[in-house]
Amino acid sequence: MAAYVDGEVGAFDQLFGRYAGMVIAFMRKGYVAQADAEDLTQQVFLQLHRARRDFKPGALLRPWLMTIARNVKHDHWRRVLRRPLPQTLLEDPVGRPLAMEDTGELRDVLERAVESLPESMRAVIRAFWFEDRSHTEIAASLGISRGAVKVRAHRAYVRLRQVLSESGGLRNRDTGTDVEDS
Amino acid sequence: MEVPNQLLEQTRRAIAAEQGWRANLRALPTGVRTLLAAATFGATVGIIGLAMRRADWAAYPTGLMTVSTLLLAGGAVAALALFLRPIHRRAPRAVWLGAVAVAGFGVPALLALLPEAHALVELHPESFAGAGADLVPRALACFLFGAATALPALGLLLLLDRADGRTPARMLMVAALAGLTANLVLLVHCPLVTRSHLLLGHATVPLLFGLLALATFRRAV
Repeated sequence: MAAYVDGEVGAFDQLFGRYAGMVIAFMRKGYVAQADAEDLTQQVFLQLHRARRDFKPGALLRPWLMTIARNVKHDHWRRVLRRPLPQTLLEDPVGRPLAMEDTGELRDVLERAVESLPESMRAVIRAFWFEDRSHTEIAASLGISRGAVKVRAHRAYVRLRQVLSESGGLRNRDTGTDVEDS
Repeated sequence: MEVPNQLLEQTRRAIAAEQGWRANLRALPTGVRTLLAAATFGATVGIIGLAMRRADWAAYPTGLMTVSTLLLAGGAVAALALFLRPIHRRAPRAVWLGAVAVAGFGVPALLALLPEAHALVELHPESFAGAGADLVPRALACFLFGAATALPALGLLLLLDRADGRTPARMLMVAALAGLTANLVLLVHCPLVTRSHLLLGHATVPLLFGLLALATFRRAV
């Protein structure tokens, strides 16, 4: 890092080669797709470049870089979670609308709930919800059938609704009672 | 974890694009960026204080001036430090951001609500103008003057910022800083002390910057 700060050509490639894989792996944890993880990794190294003169000689680079990665990922999540929630999450199992009692708290709970899903469900939810891709496109990219995508999405929604209702986030708008899964 | 070949190339290109005076400004060490921004905000207040000092300066209560300056400057320094906090340090706790935001909007209002400096009635009766029919024109003049004087330093602050995205917390810090600086300028410049004038002409400046921050943030989402 000291060589990079001093402007040595090639030092960046060494840094990137040594740490990029670790940063991508960190970004992939907790519901971030490969493409987004790569974008975020690029942001991390761009921020490293901008902050390079803040680096104290002799300090450990890895924790320094991972704090940048953590903050970049955190901002990514903030951006994602500001988007409107999908209508499918806002209906009970028979299609009646649900009321959100506390949007901010609900989103925090939702973030944790999504992270708790198995990888197979997270991938489908992420592609359908955050990337606005069709069931057919998701099926092609994951190498599974369209029906399997729907099944995974349904199971994921059921699980998310369960977590959200247990947290008190979702209530039936008509009855005021907690939502129960079908 | 395997790293795609094109990712290194893309990152190299992104870094190569970091050229020019703006890139050089935000690549400065955080201590230098903070000092530069603080000096610019401080100079704004200092220049107005020297060149356009309030007419009742000699008669204005020293204690009130000191407390007001400390509250406004303290909030501004905190907002500046939080806004320019480097990304390689942990993100500040929400409670700190909230406290500074409250200070940014609350301190000017609080100062406006303090008892008027009645000692000025005899020493500088002109300080009690700006009420009645004069309220809106004089308040508007202060509002525009305060907001305008904070803009140059605000521009530099945004140039020193390393972040690409805008978050509500960061925009709030900018609004608080600009509003507090504008109120410091008005504190050293405007001799009017009536509560209605201070509320309408001084304490509303942070609200303007808050609304601008909100509009900018909404456009960025």
